[in-house]
Amino acid sequence: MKSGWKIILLVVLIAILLGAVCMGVGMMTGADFARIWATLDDKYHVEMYYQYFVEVWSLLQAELI
Amino acid sequence: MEVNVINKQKFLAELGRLLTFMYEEDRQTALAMYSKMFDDAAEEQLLLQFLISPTRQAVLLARSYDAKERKLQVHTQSREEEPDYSDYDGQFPPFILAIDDLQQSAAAQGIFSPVEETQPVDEDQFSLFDEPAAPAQEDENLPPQETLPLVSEQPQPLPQEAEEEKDSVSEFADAVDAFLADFSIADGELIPSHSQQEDAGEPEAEENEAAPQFDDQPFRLEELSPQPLPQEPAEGEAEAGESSLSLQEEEELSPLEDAPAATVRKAKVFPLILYIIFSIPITLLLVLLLLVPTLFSLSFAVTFVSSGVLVLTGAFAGFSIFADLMVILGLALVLLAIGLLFTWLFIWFIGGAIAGLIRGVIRLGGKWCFKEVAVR
Repeated sequence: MKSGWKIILLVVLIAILLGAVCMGVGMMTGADFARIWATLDDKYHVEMYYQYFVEVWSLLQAELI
Repeated sequence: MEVNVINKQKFLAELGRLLTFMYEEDRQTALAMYSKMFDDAAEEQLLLQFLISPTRQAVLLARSYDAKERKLQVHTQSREEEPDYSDYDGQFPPFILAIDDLQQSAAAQGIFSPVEETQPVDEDQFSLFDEPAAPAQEDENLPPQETLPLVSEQPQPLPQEAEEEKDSVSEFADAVDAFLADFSIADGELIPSHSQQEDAGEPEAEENEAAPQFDDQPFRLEELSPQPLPQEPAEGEAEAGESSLSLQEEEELSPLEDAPAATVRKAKVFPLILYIIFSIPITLLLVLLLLVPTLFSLSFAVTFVSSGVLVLTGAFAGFSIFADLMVILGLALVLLAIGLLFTWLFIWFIGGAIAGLIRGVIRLGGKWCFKEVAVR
């Protein structure tokens, strides 16, 4: 288990570092978060699911409380 | 003198019976070393008083004897005719060193003959167990007088010292071999060899004369055991004080004799029932408590890994600008890394924390509710 922790933490650290480097490079080369969000929303309908969960949560709150 | 011989024989016979926990080779070696001590002693009674009792010596050997470590050593030597104690991690087995310490203590108290008192007892005397060529090479650097007294009791003429130096180890080995050839230990008792049993018809007077030469004429345990009553009045007060001392001490040390005996785990019923009654619900409660973070870890792991996969697949589907693609790839890597961390946390909770808790409860129950009982 101890060696497992070491290996997993090492892999996680390396992946996070690589991700941070990639995001930094993207930000420096002109990435736009609004454009990224719009692209992801078009593909996965993130805004729609978010609104759906908000409505369900408010409904549960009204019923339970 | 007859009393001394009988005491020596009784001592060795009793010691042979008590050393049943040792391997056969080690027991015979120990008996040979004790026999050599008796041969070297100036007065046997002094040595017997120094050794106190066979039980005490058996306890001394039992404390210094590790049967588990000796097991592999003895098995590797099983095909050899004589044991080679020099391979024991570069030194001799602890029980031989214990007997050696005993010999040195006896020599310091002046129990041995004056020839040996002048010479210190060193580890070279154990070289008899090695190949004869090896110790002879080591002894070449030493003066001849250092090795001779340990081996031969009689002074040797000067021209023969060179040859005696080479043969000193073999002479001592011959003495040990003679002892081992005269006796065999079966069922915890010293039994003379068949060739010596044929001489049983000789008169007792002849045996008593030859008895001090222990290496040449072995004692007969069968003759000693059926004659306890006729010997008691003959021995008189000389043995009375010693026998009472040894018997009293044997009674005191008898629990220690059981130390190397096998032990069996026996359950303490009432504490075991109480422990089961209390430990099961507490363990279940703790397992349920541990299941909460476990399931949270699992849900977080599933969420992060699935999000990372979706972002990663989306990066190659709808993004055409390099900068946006890099940001999405970096985000996917971070999400997958966090998902991997939560996955490992879930595995650790299941296989480490919960399983460790159950193992710990079982181990604690075994420690509290069971006891070791010695079985002869």
